[in-house]
Amino acid sequence: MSATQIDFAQLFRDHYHSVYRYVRYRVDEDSVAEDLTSEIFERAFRAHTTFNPQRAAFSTWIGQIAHNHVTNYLVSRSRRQAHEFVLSETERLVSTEPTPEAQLVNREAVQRLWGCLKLLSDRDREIIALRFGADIGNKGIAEQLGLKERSVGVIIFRALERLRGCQEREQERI
Amino acid sequence: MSDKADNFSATPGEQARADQISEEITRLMRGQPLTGADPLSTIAREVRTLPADPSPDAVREFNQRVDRWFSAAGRRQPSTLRRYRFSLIAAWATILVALIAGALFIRTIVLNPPVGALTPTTLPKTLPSITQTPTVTPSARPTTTGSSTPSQTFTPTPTLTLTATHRPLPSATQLIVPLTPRPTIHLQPTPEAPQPTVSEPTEPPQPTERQQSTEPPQPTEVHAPTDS
Repeated sequence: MSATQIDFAQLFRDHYHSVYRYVRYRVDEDSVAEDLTSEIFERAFRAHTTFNPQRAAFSTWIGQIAHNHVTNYLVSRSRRQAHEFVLSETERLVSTEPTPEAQLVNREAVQRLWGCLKLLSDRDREIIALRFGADIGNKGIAEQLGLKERSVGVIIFRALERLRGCQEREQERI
Repeated sequence: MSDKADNFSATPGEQARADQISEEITRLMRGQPLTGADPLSTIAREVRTLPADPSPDAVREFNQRVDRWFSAAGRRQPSTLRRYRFSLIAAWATILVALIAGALFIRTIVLNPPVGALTPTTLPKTLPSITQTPTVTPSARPTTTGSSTPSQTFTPTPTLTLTATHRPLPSATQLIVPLTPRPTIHLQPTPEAPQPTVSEPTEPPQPTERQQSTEPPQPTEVHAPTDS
């Protein structure tokens, strides 16, 4: 199947949520995530004729574009060292419509968890974003990042341990 | 982005637990219930259920953009022929130019062979010479006059008809003259040679008797035959 025979519009729609979730796990604001996601798909649209399904799956292809775009954004942001006004998690939760799953989670726990995610290293946060946001398996993450599959599992395991330790410290502080 | 230096090391116990958590996460992502009681599974579920979905407005705007992109792209999708139109035109132009150049080259070679390639035997002994003989060929040009009956007037149109006549031509061997020194000929007037002189007549030529006589010629006597 060539690039001209692919229903890219449907592929874009199918992958929009996963790409957005991946971006959202890597950045701190919904508005930034929406803007970055739009830019990612705009880049994908400009390059969609170069997509070769024999070389990679569309999820891998769009994931690569998303990874590069978000990384560039984070690098440029850190270089600018601009002060970013981060909405409080309470305001953010009020301004968005929570999913049914999110309604089950305590709002305070959500705030703590977002705050703890910020403390992760860039690599750990990206792997968490790929696994939980983009729903890519350990094997896919390993291929995308050039790691071993079992190493990805260990990185996720350690990241979850850090998140748990962060949450416990936050609970003790409260 | 790729961390090729995968010098990641984990203790055996850590690796086994990591594998177990990985399986739990896989079930979690598939929407299946967790089987283990590991506290990290709870953290994984919380991370999974973080509110990280786009707003309905963002989804709607994205869908509109996708429709706009690909509907426009579908209209602008060039066919294979149109996509390579310029390449085809360039290729055809190149072929045409090459053919014309080749034809001109062959024509030049055939009509004007190089001097070294002249073969005297192939040259014609005679070459047609062209003499112009004007002939008038009347051409009928009907002209319409005011009357209903057309009349034909003949307007002579001078045309030149070329008539080829054969004229002996020296052979090519005669044409190709070797560049050898020629003996010089000094022309010296010899005393014996008659000098061409141009003499003007001093007197006008004498007219003949007939021309000189102004009187009409006398009729000759006609002697009537006598009976004697």
